[in-house]
Amino acid sequence: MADAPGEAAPTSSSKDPSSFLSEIHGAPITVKLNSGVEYKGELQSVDGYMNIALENTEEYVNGERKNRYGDVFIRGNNVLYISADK
Amino acid sequence: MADTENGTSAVAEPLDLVRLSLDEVVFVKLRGDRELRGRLHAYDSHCNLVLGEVEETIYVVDEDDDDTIRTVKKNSEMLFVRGDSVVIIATTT
Amino acid sequence: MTAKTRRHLTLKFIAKTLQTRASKSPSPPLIRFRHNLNRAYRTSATMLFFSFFKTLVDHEVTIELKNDLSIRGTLKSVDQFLNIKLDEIQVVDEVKYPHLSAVKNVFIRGSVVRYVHLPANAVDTALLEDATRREAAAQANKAK
Repeated sequence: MADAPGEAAPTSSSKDPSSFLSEIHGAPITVKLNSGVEYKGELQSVDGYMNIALENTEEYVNGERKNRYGDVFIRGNNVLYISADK
Repeated sequence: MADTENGTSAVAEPLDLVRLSLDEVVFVKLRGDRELRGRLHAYDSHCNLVLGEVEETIYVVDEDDDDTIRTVKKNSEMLFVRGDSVVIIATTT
Repeated sequence: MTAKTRRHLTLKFIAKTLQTRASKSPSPPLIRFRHNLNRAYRTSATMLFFSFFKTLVDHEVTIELKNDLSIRGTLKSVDQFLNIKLDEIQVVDEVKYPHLSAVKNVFIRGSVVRYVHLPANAVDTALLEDATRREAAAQANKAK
């Protein structure tokens, strides 16, 4: 077969980055920005620029909660990573 | 692609959240430790904004009194904000 | 060969290369491609704020740059990148920024702008919000 040897069998959660993003819609996530600030909330949507819409959002600066927002739009260029919370 | 039943008002993509905030007071966090609060009159896909009755808060580190953070407030009746400075846009309740 | 003649030959070579490049016109398909690309850019790049600023020509505005310099002046022109030409300028904090006290007008690159403070009475906010909704709808349609 043409399959590359040694390649791990794809599981449902590790196909590619965009399927990861579509799987965590509605789930609680953490978004870390380049500045180090973190936003925790429920993911409403993401687009190709990695712009993010979050619901029931908490803002953490140096691990301390600083603010609560209803809905937050995050401009994608500031995003370092998106992590699915447990 | 998951299509929502009420296509025009739902948040199908992140910028829809901003569209739903038109003519509402929003909170905007910018690069350089600046924050704005004002009524949203316009936006585009770059996050360029026009805000009315804006209060700007700037956080500056005090030079004489090291480590203390001072806030400077400024007001503007109508303000265009270039999108590349925008970090977040939050609705206010 | 002296260094001088070598340099002379090099310059001649560069000039000749540039000349042949300039005279070679692109093939028709390439022209068409460029034309389409330009059109695509013109429609996909947002025209909302470009149009908005055009309505503010001849009004007094204050532009705050990302380096904290603020310049007040009459808006003379704007382009699609939101580069801006200002006339009869004055620097808001002359003491802190004396560099431009002799300058009458400036061209400001759009990317260095942080804010533009606008005269509220020159902005029809209801019209602007409608235009924003139309632009958002146009963008959404294009994405489909």
